[in-house]
Amino acid sequence: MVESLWADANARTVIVCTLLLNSAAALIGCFTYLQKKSLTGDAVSHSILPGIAIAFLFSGVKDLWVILPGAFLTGGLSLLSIEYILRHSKLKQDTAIALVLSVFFAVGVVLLSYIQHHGNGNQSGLDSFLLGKAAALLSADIPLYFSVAFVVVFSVLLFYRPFMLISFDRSFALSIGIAAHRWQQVMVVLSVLAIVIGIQAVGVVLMSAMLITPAVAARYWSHRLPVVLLLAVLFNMIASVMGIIISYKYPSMPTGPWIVVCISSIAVLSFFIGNAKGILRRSSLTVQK
Amino acid sequence: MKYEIILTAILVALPCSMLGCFLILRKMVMLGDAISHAVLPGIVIAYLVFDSRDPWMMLWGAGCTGVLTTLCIEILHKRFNVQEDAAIGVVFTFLFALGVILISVFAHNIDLDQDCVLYGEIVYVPLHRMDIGVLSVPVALPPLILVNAIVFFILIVFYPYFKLSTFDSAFAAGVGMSVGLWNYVLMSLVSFTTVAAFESVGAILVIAFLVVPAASAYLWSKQLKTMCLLSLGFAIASVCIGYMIAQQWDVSISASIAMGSGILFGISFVIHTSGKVIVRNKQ
Repeated sequence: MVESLWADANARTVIVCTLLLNSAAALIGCFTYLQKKSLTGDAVSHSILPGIAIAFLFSGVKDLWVILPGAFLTGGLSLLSIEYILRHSKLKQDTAIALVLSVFFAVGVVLLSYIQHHGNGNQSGLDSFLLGKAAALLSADIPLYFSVAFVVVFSVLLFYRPFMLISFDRSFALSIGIAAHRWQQVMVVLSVLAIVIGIQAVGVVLMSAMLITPAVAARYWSHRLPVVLLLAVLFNMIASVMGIIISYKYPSMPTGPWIVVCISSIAVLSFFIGNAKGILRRSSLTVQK
Repeated sequence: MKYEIILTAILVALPCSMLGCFLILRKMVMLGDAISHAVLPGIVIAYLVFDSRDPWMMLWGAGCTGVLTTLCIEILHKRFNVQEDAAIGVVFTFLFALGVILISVFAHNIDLDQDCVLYGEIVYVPLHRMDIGVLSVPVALPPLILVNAIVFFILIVFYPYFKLSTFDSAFAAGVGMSVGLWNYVLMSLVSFTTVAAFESVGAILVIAFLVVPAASAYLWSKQLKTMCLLSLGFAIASVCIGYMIAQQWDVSISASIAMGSGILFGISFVIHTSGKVIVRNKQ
């Protein structure tokens, strides 16, 4: 079964791409989780939709080199709007996130339906961004996905120290002379990049699962950040492979939702048997006392 | 036909905007977002078990899923020590993914597709009709009217309780009110409303109906009563604006209503912030 999957060139592309995208998402997700900003990722992933639609509307082609920059722009714009709304009104963070998320998403759906009704017939497949379509990943797209994912992973490794410091103790980071604000912006750019490339696999609606859930699960196994990062990447990879195998075996099954169900099951398992914080482990510790 | 679409949209927007006010003040908007995604598997299971769109069963199923979602998030947060925002993210993505999978597994048995889940099908609302006495009404209308009646009845009759537990839950608990109970009542109302709205606007755009008019109203008001009334006004205005946009450019009606409420929020926000700047300059 697995050998036949690997022998299929198309399936191989899908697996390699999905693994890359989801590892980048898991890495960035750990840092946003530690900063208690998990749900801003949800806002970014929904806000990517109008960017995709606008890029398609102006260029008329479904080329990733056009669509991804558009997605990046509106994704970033959503974060800026959230920050602007928070600074200039009495609205709280959750309201601002939900507001920006829903309005951007609505604009995206309006534009998509406009393209559908007035389009040139070239538009089919644009709505695969909504719930994701890993099978639509093309081998021609691998270089682009690979380079973006590589940039994200490499920057996280390179900037590990400042990222760790501003995630755990921002005031300490400031006191030892780290430009916390600057590093925060770098991290935001990386997270938008990770989300933008990730949506092809799981879609805008479920993208936040690829960010949040592996981080939550990994946190149950260790108190040390490097281990948490590694485990999160590993969990996301396992879930991606499982999801792809399921949808390869039963072609009517959607890949993205299955990946999400797999990663959620891993998380539930970790809640119970996790080495560091798992509930069974914790109760056995209390017994020993 | 046209008026039936507008009426349906208004009947969706009114209870949503009203509940949105309480969600915003309780800082529980993302929980509302989570519930609106999470009722999807409940709806699919209700479709399968009762073999039809029996609105009463669907509402019950939905109420249960909504409370279940709230419970799951609370257990993850309190018992398993997961941060609240992460708990919300884990639970709603899982349930939504489950719903999408159920739809594709039973695609032949049920009359539901992914487009309906994502944007709703308000255009088709006047097409499915039923007869009540001599009147012929769209099938979607009676459940919506019922939900409106339930939501407004409960919110108006128990207004003082909701108000007190929203603004000062510690005091409310101190005078012997069960804060948890009112929390769950509110969450079940949110899930009733999202299910009733599901057919017309889908599972994802509902959050725009919940939060945007109420947020615009929040900018303009200092009292809960004014906020609720203004929010209803914004909801109706955004339905009108959205419907005009949809007619003009032939685009999705439910999404353009959400966009219309976004436009109204944008205008409110600009006036609000520039007003503050003017006051500051005068001082």
